[in-house]
Amino acid sequence: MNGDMRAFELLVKQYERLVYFVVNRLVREPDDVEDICQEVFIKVHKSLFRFSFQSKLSTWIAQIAYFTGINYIKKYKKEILSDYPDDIENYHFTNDNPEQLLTKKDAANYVEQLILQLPEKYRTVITLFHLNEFSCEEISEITGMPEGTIKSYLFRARKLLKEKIEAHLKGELI
Amino acid sequence: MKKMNDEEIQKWLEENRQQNTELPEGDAKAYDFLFNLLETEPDNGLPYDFAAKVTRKVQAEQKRNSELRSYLISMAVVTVIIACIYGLLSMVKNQQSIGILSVIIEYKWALILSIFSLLTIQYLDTTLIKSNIFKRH
Repeated sequence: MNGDMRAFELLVKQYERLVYFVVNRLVREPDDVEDICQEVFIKVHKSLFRFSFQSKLSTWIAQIAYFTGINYIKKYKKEILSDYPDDIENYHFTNDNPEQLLTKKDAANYVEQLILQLPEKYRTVITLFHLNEFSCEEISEITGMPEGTIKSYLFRARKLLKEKIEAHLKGELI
Repeated sequence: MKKMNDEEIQKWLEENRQQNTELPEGDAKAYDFLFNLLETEPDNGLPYDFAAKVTRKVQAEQKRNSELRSYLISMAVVTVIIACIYGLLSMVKNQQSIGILSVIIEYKWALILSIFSLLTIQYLDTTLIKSNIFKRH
């Protein structure tokens, strides 16, 4: 790979969606997302010689994307993590208006808005599991969180989101 | 199918969703719908030329680094050559070499300032100008 920029460009094309999903859910400022994604791939290029094939390349790249996003949040204090309650079941969303959801696309946008209001660890776990299709074991490798914690975050986040869309479902969405 | 609690439904869906089997009773329909929504990719994404942009940025950075390396090597080579010439001169014409050294000592601040200015211009050119060429393009 060293020196072969065409191979690197192909690698970027292959993994840009993975990196975008992770960064987009972590960083709330759309203007910064592209810059952070670029930073992720520059880090990938610089550290590629250190990749030892002990894990999947996708897991390794997702790990770089996750920590780059987290560092950005910490560095610019874009998010005060203590704002979230310890007991996530009591979390109150600010955007709580599901009545206008007419199609599945509206519902997807509504859920997207709800996810963006969740604490960053919940957002990350939900994204890595459902969008990037990583297993709990791989998510543990990426984030450094214990597998049990990941399963618990997944369960609680889904339960919370399900309760929000349930009312909407009763109104007979497609 | 027996009624399951939230945890059981989530686990069941993780394992059986792809198989088109009948959903269990309870909140399974809501969860199934939620799982579909969670797997829906966002509308927005990175620009189509993102990979090309990153590649250009990496190439520009590599070029900057290699330029910096070559400047440092050139400086080291020039310093060694000057030191060798001065060494040879001091062996052949010792009096003249002492004269040169005294001139260098007399104008040391002018020499140091010149070298410092040259390096600063080079550094600013590398960090402020060339590094911003590909930013947001």
